[in-house]
Amino acid sequence: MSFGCRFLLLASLVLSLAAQPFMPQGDGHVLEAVKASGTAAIRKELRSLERLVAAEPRNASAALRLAKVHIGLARDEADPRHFGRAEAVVAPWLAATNPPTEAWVLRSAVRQGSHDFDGAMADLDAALAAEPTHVGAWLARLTIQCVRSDFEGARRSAARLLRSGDELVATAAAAQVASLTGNSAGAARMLETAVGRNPSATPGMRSWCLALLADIRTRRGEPVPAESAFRDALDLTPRDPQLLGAYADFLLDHGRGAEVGPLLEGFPQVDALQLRVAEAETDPTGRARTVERLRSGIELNRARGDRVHLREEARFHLRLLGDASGALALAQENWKVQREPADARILFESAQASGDAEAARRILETLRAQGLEDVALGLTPRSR
Amino acid sequence: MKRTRTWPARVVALMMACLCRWLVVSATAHTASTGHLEVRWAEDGLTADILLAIRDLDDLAGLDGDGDGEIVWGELKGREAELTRYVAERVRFTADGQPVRATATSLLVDRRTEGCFAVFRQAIPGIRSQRIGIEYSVFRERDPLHRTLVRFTEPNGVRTAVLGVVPAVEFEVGTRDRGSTFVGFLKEGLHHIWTGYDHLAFLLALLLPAVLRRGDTGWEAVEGFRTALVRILGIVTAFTAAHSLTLALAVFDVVRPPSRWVESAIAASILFAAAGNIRGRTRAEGAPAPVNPAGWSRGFRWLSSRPVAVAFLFGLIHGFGFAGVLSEMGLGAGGVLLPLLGFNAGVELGQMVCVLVFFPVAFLLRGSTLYRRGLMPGLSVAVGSLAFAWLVDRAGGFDRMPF
Repeated sequence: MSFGCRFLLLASLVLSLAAQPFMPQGDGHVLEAVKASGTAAIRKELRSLERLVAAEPRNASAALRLAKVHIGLARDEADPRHFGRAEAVVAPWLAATNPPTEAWVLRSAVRQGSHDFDGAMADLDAALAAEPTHVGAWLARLTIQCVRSDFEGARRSAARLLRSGDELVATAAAAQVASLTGNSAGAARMLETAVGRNPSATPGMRSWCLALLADIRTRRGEPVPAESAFRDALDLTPRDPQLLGAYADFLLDHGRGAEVGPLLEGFPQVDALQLRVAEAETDPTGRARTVERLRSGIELNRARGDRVHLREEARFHLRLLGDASGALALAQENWKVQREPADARILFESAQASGDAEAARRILETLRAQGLEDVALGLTPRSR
Repeated sequence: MKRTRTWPARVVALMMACLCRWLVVSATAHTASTGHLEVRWAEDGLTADILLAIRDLDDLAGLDGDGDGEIVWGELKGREAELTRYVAERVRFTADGQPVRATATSLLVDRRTEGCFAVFRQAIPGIRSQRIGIEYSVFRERDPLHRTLVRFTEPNGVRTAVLGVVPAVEFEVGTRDRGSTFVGFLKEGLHHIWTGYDHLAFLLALLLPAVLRRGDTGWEAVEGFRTALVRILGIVTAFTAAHSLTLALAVFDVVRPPSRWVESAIAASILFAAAGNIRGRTRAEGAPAPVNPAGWSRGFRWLSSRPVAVAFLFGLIHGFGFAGVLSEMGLGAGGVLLPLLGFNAGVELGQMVCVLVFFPVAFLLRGSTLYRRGLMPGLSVAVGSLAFAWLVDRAGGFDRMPF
């Protein structure tokens, strides 16, 4: 009989075995492999801090340190559970009278991670009211202001950071604003100099600056220095999901999709990265599987009421499902929350793909007025 | 010759696409902490399955006793008492606003796409209340981002809610006019067959080729009106007799197969019928020989060329499917016979209407190439793919099909 019918009958027989809540047969039946978060050193620190915090609830510095470790893990592993834990650890300190400044800053980081930018700004306001020279708070503030395209506010924050005494931080701050408002060439030069002159800064800070530099070079249409900056940044922080995603996008844009799979191989749990893997995937079954995995992740988040990853959802709809109008709706909703170049790009591409030329033109107008330079959007660099 | 072979290949491709929809993959994604709470309201009480991710329980209670990076059943079972106590404190039920006590009945395990979950099964028997409340505070001080997705199933349907930020929810079990009269149940039967897309799909799969016969060069039209009519009536009567029989058996509690099995078998029956419509025909002159004519291949061919037998055989299973619906409606304290007759009559009536609509159209079109080579196989493939999706959805416990 034909293969098709044989397959159908066999499949029917096999699939009649139901799978629902069950009682495992043996004690040794493996339920879940607990993938350890972070390095062994971090895990050790985490364990001892958890114990300390449980034993000494009045120990502020232990609690704050624990929250900081969790936030670091949340970012490095792209794992939102750590944000929840960090918030829980910090919450009792914020409820007390005279909370430590750091508590505000840490909770603002958690809120920033959940894209609750209003809440994050409120926490930063409280932190800066208590400690007006807190560098971390100003830097976080500047980042959020850039994300929300409040460039006046960002310039003011950058000016405050100039007085901080930390050259790398001050330069990065100024460069971030300049790169989005018409002076990407100057921004790139500033960054290159500052990174070169501060070899002893923390790897995290250097990597952040190099990632910013790579982004500026990419938007200026200078792939060779961009790649060099990406590579330098990856040398410092090889497992930073944000950086890896940005580099994967660079590879996809420059026709080097084949390198994306190997680059992101070790990150099956990070949906944002699997999105890039799916885009680069040429094998249709592999792609279909990844697409389904991503879809179930999106559905779960939607069921929970989380709307954190609208940019990725829009991109999923546009590039993987070919659903331009769905992508446009998501991109527009995303635009209300954040306005980084990547958000502008998905909005513009969705508008174009769904044939809404008017919307596409309006977006470009806004970006031109802002001074954004991005060759991917046809906004060629004006600065030299 | 080629044509009869390409259809199955396309069916396979379509099936693969359907299967991909629910494939469980090995790597689990980093999601925020999410649990599930499945509550079932029935006449004799409530049952609840509280699902918590093994990962979250490990964060809470440190399940990995031997520290080998894997959590095994023995390690979870060993902490059953303390975890069940924790769940009992954090998940509370109310009936008409008054707290009620739930009894823990078992600890199980469930695998979902996001990972492995511990299932804390609880029962609250003898609840007659129509207003059920749930208060949920699992992991509250440890992870304010934890949410649970609540599914509340009652005879009128499924409701959903999200708890976590919102600490409690109440569900009102819908009251319905039970219609203890014959006419009431007749209407229910009608309604059920007209919204019973799986039953209709099965009938469609059987009736599509009823105006045709297998000829030397493929499907050919049946000559006379009488022949076609007799065939159609034969199929429908056999189906009716079979499902009436098993419906009665189920209602009188003689045979009650589990509903998940019944639903899956119904899907399989549609698949069988659809497959029979598009299988390669029996060997004719010059046709290439089948590669491996196995016994079950012959059996399949034998059976699928006898639609009356197929209708009867699988009709038996469909009857159990109807019984599931009837029992959920609650037959009331009075006799079972009248509701049963009424419901059955409703199903027959609904079926008859569908056949009366289908038959003239199919009869008139039966000679056309469009019907023989296009609509009949095409609709069969469509029905078969749908059946495959139902099968995976029901057998796999996903229950995500919208109908």
